[in-house]
Amino acid sequence: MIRLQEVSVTYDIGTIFQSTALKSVSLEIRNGEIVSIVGRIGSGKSTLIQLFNGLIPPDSGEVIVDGIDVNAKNTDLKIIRRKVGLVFQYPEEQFFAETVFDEVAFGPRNMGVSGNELVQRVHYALSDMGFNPETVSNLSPFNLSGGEKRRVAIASIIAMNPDTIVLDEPTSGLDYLNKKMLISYLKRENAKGETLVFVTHNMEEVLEIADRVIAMKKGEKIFDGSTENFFFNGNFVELAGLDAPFLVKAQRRLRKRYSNFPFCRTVDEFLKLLKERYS
Amino acid sequence: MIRFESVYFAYEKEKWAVENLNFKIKKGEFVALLGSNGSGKSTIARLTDGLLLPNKGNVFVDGINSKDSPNILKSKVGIVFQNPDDQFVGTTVEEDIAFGLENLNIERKEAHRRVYEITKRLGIFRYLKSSPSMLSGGEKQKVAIAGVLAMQPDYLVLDEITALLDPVSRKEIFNLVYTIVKESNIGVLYITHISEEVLPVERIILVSNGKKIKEGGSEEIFSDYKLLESVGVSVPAIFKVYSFLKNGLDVTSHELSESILLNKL
Repeated sequence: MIRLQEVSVTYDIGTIFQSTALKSVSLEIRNGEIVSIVGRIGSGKSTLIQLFNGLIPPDSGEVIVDGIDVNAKNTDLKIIRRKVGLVFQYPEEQFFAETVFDEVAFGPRNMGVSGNELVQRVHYALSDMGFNPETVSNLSPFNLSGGEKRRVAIASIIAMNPDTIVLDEPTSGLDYLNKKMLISYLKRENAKGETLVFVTHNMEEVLEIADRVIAMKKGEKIFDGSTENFFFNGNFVELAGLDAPFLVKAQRRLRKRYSNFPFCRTVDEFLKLLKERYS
Repeated sequence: MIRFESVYFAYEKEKWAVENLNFKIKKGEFVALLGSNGSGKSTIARLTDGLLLPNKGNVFVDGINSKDSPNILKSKVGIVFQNPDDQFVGTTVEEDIAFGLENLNIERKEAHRRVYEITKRLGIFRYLKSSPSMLSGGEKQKVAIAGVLAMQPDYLVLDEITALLDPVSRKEIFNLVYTIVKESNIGVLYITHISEEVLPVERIILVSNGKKIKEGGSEEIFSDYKLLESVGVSVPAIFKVYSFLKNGLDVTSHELSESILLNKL
């Protein structure tokens, strides 16, 4: 579990560039959840996730991971980073290894894993991301397609066996098929018990997979609750400066007409319901 | 007119990135090229302005064969890519846009007028003295578009210009470009993998593995869900709802708007 207690972050303190990235934010990420962090550019969402594994320290407040104060003097950040894996935006831009195997093995090797266990972990992570480990291991990661590169990059975090995977815009730049594939693999990770946190401005994805939404605006948390409440109880999407997808607008309309209209995550689910019960 | 005549292109021997491609774009027409990653879209973009030359077949722009004079093509066809950061040359927005004009030997006064006009039109006038690198993704892309439009090309190729933007900026950029181009007499090839974007476009060319799969209006293109799925392109949610409600509607898929549909729900 990750807990933030009244955390504030200010960049460039004491200079004319001083800017507050986070203002007294408290939140919890509970085990097994899929949480989406949303907001426009500059809302503080990327700063937020860098706190989760101690990549940056807060100026005030506490970050607690499984009871450990991440920023306490005697905390070994390696332990935190084994618990919380961070996947940056466009992670494939940081590829360096000559083979897919070495790329994915880098993290666990750094943690002292070797031999059979290393091979097992790499293979496990690659198959979790939809690859046949035998055929892909010896390829150069640079020769893969955009969608495959992204999945190798995520596999390299999975191979470190974190309890929580935090992803910054995981589907950014991917086309429909690659997005769909990645989302289904991530859902499968979650079904196996992995906690997922993903930062996005794509509201369709939030609607489709998130259990809970945390919405940020100008460094402040303006919403923290179920995905259904985020979209349908008030106008938090608009408050966060985001655009409600058509499917949300359509459901809002039907909810006005039928007070018990169920929550639909996809357009197919929505149309099926319309056909069967409301036409 | 841009005319692709049985065009083949391969980066590696016998592996066609573009295969037997035929299509035409007239001046003033806005045509979308829709396909998944790796479908050959960017290769087609580069063939259109003479950056790449066909191995077989011909690309003509206003009757000029790209094989004969690729440089004339480059002056007739403006191109904007996915990542604006790769395209900036000036230290300020103004310099950046003026740079292309200087290269065309446009007189200073005229260049000034064009920069002024185009930045006003695109809503980036207030950034003239700013560094392009300080702008947001959407604004950067506007600068890149301004730079190309200022050169007054006859045709424009827009290669995934919204792919890296957030949904709000994406809509804004598309609508802006669509309106500006419709007002002018520029022929446009709008390349994208995002199907929602091309709903209002009257002619869409669907490509997969370097081949044209289908060409037509959004109604024809999007009605075949199975075909789209098989080439890795999504059916827009709004189109699915439209198809469901179709009998109660008196609009075509081109005129489709969220509010029309919502009123029928």
